[in-house]
Amino acid sequence: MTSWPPARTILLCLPALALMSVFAAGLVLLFLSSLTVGQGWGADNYVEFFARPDLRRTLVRTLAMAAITTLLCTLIAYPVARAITRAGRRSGLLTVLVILPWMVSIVVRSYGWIVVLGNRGTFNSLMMWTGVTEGPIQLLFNQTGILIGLVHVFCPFSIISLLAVMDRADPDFEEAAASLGARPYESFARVTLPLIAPGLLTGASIVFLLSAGAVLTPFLLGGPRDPMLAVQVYQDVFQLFNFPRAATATMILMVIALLVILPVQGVERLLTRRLPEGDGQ
Amino acid sequence: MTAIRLTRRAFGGLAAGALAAPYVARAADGKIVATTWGGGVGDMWKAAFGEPFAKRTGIAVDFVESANPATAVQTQAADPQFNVVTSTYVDAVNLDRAGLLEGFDPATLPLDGVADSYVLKSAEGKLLGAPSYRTIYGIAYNTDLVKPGEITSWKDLADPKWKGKIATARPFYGSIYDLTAFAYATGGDSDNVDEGLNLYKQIADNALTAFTSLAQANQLLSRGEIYAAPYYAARVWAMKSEGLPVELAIPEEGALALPYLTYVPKNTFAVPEALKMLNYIMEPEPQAIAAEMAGYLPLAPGAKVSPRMEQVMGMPYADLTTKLIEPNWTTLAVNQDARVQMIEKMLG
Repeated sequence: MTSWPPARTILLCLPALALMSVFAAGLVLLFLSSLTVGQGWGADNYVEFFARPDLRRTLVRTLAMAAITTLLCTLIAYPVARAITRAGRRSGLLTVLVILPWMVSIVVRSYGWIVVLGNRGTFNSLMMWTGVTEGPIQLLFNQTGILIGLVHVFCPFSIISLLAVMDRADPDFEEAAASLGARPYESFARVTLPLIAPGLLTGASIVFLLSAGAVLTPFLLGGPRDPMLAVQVYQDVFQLFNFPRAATATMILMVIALLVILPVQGVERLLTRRLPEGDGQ
Repeated sequence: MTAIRLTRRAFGGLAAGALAAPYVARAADGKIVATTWGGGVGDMWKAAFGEPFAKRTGIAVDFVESANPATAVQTQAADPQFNVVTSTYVDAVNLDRAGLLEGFDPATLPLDGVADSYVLKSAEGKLLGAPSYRTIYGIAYNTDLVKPGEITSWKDLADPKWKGKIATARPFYGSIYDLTAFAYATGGDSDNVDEGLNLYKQIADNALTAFTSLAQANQLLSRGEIYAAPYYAARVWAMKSEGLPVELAIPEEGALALPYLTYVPKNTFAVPEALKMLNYIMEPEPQAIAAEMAGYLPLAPGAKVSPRMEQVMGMPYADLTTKLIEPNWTTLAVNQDARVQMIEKMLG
């Protein structure tokens, strides 16, 4: 016989359900908007999207940039998080330093990159003054610029996600592996990596989703030939008022991002289940 | 001390009252709640129009900066929060097409002496706003990096020597400004932009970037990150007045005259007061202040540009007006979406 939860439990869940229903309604409305064609309905907006080679390229570019940003953030985050967890009493201060950029607007940070990496910026001036290059290296207003900006903005998410698991990982495991003759890379691959994988995957999922939907950084640091899909959506909503086209691009990006993220989430759950329980906490 | 008992009913009444208060107050006191872009534009608007109007009429003017005033009108269509809005003429055409602008009988908003190309009317012949001022869209250049006379035509921007050294507007603004200027430079007009699109492609091939905001374009130009770009005269003159190494070239094919309109959203509050504001904006004095403060050129008949401003402009205002391209902005607005896509496809 099915046992129902007590009425009080159901009542307590109502606010959460109400909140979720708002999100769900938003998604349904977004989907319906993407099917709006003039006064009627149809899949014309989707057909038109995939019929435009420039939009297809923009979609692929967006996903590729999100994937590369995720990879770079993860590669940078691991040594940083490891250094913080081993910094003893200074780890709190270092964590604050990691999240400090969040206290400055993305717009200001992006303009800062122009001063540092522009053709006449600090980096290029130094390179030309020291004779390393004859002319400036173009680091902004292209895909390199977008990547630098996205990694700068989203790397703290990867670091914080890793810190959450590394703080709880018992360092004795690595020492035990070393004492049993494991080389550093073996110890990393067979002991450390499985322990930190949930944090790694959580951080990667967050960074991927945020990068795929990023507007400001690609807007300010990208070039005219490297648009990202979220910038197109911004233009359609706020400048051209073409909501059906914006909804279509959003739905496509969301579905593809979910297809990428859901398997990652599955792997994360699997790994979390296989992890040792820890020290009884 | 007396304890105050707050019943649920009283609490509900107070809460509803508190929530409704801003709207009730807004509708009741008949004041102006105006918006346009922030920064230099907003400062100019307040000093030239808002504050003198409030002083003369006693009608309070609240000013709110918007990242995009037309978007504010669009998103607040069901419950307008502004009753006076200034944005581009093209924005106004698009808002009118969506049925979002209040129309006025021509007798209530006399625009005698204003050129027809700056007057926006509805299909029923109602006036849809006051032509507040115009700016010029020419070619801005950094005087440390470009010699005077080195850029004299829109076509010069396609010269390979500027590869990676110039910028354009993003497709949204490029579709109405850059493309139109390039069309006129290649023998086209507001309707025929085919050759202009070819020139656009050549110029875009030279572009380091497409600037995303006035602040970014100012930074790129004044720092010399870009040497030149199609850009707004008002911004160039403001930078020049600050001593920055920036100058404006008026191309031999002409510079675009970009009109701005001040209008009243449909179904907004205090419309009679808003109409008074539109009438005030069409007086010569406030438009002359706008010109003096920020280089926004007057459209009101009789409004003068000061000798100082003419010196900044590099020529008498009367001479400048002979070098202007005045396209059909309604045609440009109607075709904007399609032309944005044309440019995106060309770039992509």
